[in-house]
Amino acid sequence: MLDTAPLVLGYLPFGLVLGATIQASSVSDLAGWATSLLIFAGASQLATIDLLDAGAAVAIVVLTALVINLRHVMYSAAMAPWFRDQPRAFQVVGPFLLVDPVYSLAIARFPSMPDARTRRLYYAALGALLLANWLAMTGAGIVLGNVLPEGVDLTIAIPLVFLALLVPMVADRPSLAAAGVGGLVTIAAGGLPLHLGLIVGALSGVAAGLLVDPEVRS
Amino acid sequence: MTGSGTGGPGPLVTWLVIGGIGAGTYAMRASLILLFRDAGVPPVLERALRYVGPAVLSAIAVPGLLAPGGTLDPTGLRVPAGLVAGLVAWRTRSLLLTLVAGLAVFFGLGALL
Repeated sequence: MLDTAPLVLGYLPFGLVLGATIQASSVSDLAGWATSLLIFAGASQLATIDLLDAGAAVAIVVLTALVINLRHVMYSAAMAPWFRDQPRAFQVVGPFLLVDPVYSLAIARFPSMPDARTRRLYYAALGALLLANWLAMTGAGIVLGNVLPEGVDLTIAIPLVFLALLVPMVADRPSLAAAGVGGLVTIAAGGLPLHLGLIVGALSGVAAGLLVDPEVRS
Repeated sequence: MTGSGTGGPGPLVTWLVIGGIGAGTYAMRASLILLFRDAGVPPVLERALRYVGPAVLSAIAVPGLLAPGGTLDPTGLRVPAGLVAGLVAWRTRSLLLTLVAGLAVFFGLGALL
């Protein structure tokens, strides 16, 4: 599970900041920590804690968190073909672990894996490891606060990991168009609320890939 | 930023909100996996799914390198780090080597400048 090491490093600052935010909020430490298990998606957890602490209406809190997590529907679509030959129980339990890095590593690694069992074990081990680490990091943040020294910006590891997974996927003109448009539109749409820029950018990228795809054009 | 220590709903409502968001997030992650598990993915969607990988990974990686924190920073240290890492990823296809190269450029330049 060498794949998870850089991700743990990269998500450490985020986990600590989230934990420190929970600790400082009016949400109890236990309920705040439970978001790492029950929601398991950093940006929406942070929004949930912030809005609960600010006394926002319940409907606003729930809607905001769910809109931030809309991208998971896209991951569900992308994983659907790979889940068809899995046992029914795994089809139900597996999606619980379908977070950004699990989706990204799975979509990058699955095509070169020999069978459904190998893919299932990889996915489960990856998801369980990342969940355990996420619980540990947010827990540490709740107890210790943000203990990382200023000026050591470990968050750079996250885009580097995604870049390393992206480059081998860019194998032809449509995938190059998807990646180029996806990245640039996400930057351009960075001002949108609720992290919607990511979805707008990703969907634009998919549309660009289809437009360039020779089989779709003909 | 939080930290008021006041306001907010009581513990029961807080747990219900957290549980509801968790259930909704799970429903989104499971939705299409369960919808298509017997009939399969429609061909049109399957074609589009080829491009979800590059589009999403780029939508996370590129802004993280060019516009960290949401502001465009084309002269930041993340740019040369990303360029070198991208080159190493292209030549080696190794996640570890890519990461080491990117971190070395980022922290190396950071120490020099």
